[in-house]
Amino acid sequence: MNKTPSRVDMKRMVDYFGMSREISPDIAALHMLLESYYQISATRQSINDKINGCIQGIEQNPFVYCKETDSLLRDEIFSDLRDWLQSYCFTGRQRDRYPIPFDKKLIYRENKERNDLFMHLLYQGLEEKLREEQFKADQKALDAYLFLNESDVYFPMTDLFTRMIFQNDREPVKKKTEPPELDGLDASYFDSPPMKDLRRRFGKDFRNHLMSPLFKPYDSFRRLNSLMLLLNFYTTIYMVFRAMNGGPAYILAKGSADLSSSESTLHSAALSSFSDIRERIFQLSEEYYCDAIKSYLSRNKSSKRKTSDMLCMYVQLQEKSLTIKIENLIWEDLRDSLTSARAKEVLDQIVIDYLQLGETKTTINVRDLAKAFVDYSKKRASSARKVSAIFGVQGQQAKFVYPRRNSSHKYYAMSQDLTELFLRLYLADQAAPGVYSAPLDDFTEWLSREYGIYICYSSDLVSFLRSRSIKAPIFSDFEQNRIDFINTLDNLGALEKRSDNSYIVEIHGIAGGQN
Amino acid sequence: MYEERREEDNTFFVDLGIEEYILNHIEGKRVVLLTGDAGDGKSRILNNLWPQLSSEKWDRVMDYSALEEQEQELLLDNISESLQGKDKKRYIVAANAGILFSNRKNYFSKVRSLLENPLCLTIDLQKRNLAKEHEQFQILVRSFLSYQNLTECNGCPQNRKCAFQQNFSAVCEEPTLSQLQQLYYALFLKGIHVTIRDFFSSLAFLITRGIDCTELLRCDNPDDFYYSNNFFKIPEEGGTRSGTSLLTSLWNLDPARRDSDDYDKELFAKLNGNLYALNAQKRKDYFENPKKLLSIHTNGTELDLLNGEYLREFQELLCLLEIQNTLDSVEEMNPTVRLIERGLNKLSDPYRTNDEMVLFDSPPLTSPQIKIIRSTNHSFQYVYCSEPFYRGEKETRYPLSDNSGFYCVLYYEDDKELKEMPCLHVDYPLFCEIAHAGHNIFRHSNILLRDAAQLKVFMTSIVASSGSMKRFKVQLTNIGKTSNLIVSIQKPSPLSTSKETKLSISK
Repeated sequence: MNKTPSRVDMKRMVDYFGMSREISPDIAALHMLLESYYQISATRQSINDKINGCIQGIEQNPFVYCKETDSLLRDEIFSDLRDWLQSYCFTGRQRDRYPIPFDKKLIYRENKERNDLFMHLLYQGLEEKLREEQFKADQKALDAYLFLNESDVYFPMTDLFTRMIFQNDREPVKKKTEPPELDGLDASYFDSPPMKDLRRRFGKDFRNHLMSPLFKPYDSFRRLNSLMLLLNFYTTIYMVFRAMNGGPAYILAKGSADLSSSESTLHSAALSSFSDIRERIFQLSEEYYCDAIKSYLSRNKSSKRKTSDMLCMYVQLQEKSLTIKIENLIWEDLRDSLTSARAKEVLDQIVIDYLQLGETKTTINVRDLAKAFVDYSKKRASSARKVSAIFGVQGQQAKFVYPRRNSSHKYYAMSQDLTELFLRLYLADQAAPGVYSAPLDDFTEWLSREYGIYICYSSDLVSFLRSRSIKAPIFSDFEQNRIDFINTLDNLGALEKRSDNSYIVEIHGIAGGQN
Repeated sequence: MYEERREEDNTFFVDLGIEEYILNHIEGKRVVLLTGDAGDGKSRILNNLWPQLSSEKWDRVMDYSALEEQEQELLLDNISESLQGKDKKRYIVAANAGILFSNRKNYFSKVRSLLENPLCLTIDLQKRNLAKEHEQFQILVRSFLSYQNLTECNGCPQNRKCAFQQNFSAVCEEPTLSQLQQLYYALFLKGIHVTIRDFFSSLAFLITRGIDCTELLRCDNPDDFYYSNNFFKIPEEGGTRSGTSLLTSLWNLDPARRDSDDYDKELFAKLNGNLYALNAQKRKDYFENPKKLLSIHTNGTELDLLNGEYLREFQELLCLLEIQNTLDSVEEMNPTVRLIERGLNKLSDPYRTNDEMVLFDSPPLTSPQIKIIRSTNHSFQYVYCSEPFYRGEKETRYPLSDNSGFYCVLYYEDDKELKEMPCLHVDYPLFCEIAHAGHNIFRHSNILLRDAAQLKVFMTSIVASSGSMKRFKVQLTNIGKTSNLIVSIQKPSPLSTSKETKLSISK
């Protein structure tokens, strides 16, 4: 297959990091997942035809009529309706939300390139023989979750409106209902024990989210939002696990997302911990470029070059500009195999400056050249930079990274939305169905065990922080953090105090539940 | 409490030896300049001295800062004439430092020339450290607390049982007094000047936490006002963050916020999981049982029990420089000096490992048989100077304490003066940043903007002076033979399992 450098770059990057770019806005994560399950092609009808069909349908519907008798005002009303349909319906997902009302036909493949992240996480977590069966079961559960309204809240108008809007829309063409083919992800990190556990966890959380009674009381839009939050969280946590590169994850999270206690040792450690993880991603980028350069050199072996770890580089003045030269290699080929053609001018100058290249030949280590590429990716938007940008952006969309404004000093924190999601997932995970309460300490211990999220004191976390040369918080600040988390749960109405230092977490109002 | 007393009664006085110093050094001087912050006691010193000076053609200016600008300029002119011998009158002037040294005034050059004149005796109370010597500190505290009129307590139902009286007794005893001294010494190290007025005010706060007897009698739990908590109580514990900047600075040193590993966890369990009780106990232990806490912090001093990083190390360096004015790491194998050096090297190139730094930056320390020659043939050395030495100030300035930091000079040319080399002024906050880097402690950068700029200039000088950092020649001398080698260093990837640094050696 004759792939362009950018396609090669993308594929290699997906293999290396497990994702190719930031999934932003937050709805994109949901849409990618749904595409994998529905795999519906868009209909060929133009948008205008659809809108005309819809308006005709409304006019002909026996239950809906326009009260306005004045013809000018009536036209105005229908014109407004047309504008609304133009903006919100038939065009698939918008930048930051699905249109109202939500319909299966809105999920269609927008382009041929898709990000397989969630499909891999979910699909790769299954044993070989179960894959097809599980996929079909998940598809059914997803269908029921999104489109069968089992909540106590009754939205007849939504259903009616959906039918009216889409009744004249031609049935989309279903391609297939089997799981999509894998692209053959070449990534050994996927099989490391922590990553395997994460994939297993994702499968469990996803299915619990679709089938547990704890998520049934949601109306359809809240179901969408909750699912989006879950998927964005997993994008974030996946990146953290990837950054640990086979090791266990340790995420120090503040118990509350508000800005109080910004002077505590825990706040300082939380900032450092976040920076440390982000720095690991840049290190990962360095490894990525290092591997990419080495594999290029292996493919372009020459008898004149003795070793693939060192390069002899210099610059030459050609037509009033400096050109990079490498002995026995063509710099432009190497450069273009790693980045897009757009980058060349800026990248060349950055490499010259970073490596301090001059007219005298200098022996450069491959790792130093890789660092120059990382330096470039830090300064300019590039695929590698976008990968590291996932880190902060997705974290914000998962309501897990704060503050939400532009700031270089960020930390993980338990927002109310995310805490509620975790709480429901935790209770859904318990062995005793129908029991929707548990001790608080069990909940926090589950968070650390399943996701590596630490809120309370843990000697393992303290040892890890010290191993990363991060000053661990003092014990009393850990306790204060626990108190902050208790307040977060209390604000959700999900906490009951049993004694001075003993709390129960619970969710009320679940049909058939015992609290 | 202190302010009320001061207005009512001027008899409170503690002799800190300044008057004696002035009288002993006044011979031959034509001007005595007492400068410092408001509350440093300049007026009190002047009043104490005046009976002995009034008959000797001295003219006193009680408060230079209170004069109109024209009057200030006129006074400076008069002083200048006196210094030139044109006027027989001699002057003793008290002036607030902020007003005196304001370079917005158009006669700042006159002030500067006054300070540099050998006939002017300058006493800069901004440099005074009230906690420098234990005996003096003891006198200060006990004099103030014993001066308080406790006869009013006689008719009180809580007489001899109240928290205030308990605090009075406790603070005067050891080891509390010594630990209190450490607290104020720590402020000095952090660059905070405590005037004598602020010092007494804070002592009063230590005893009462700003409430009066009536309010104390109404309290449900008077034990809450035990002195060890009074500086440090956080709002969640019923304390307050509002108050003077001195109180805020003291609050920041809270010993309860010092990490004591498993000790905290055990104590927390013993106190039934009460966080406030844990904090209160730690503070009490700091003042009354420091040995117990010191046994947990091995190799530490009392400064290590306070919530302040590298206080002990900073003190150590300042003390060394006070004695010998300059230090360099080649002659001085002091671990703190080595730590700062590592930190500076690390900041100039964060990617270098400690092994690389040993090879590249400290050639004299490897071996007499291994000589490392950089490709630029440059070698440099860090030299540390006390601030007075670097500025060329007179050694006879009183007092000698200096907490504004020290200078680090990058010395790389034999024929140049120290002052012509790139230098970095290191105060306590910057010292902490450098020490963190030296210890490889990872954290998001806290370097203040002002420090970032001067640090960058200094780091650029280091990198420029050191030349190529990755390759160099090594001369190995063994029984008269010399081998020249090219060495390059590959450090391990942080993500790989192997942690070995690889040396590549070629001829």
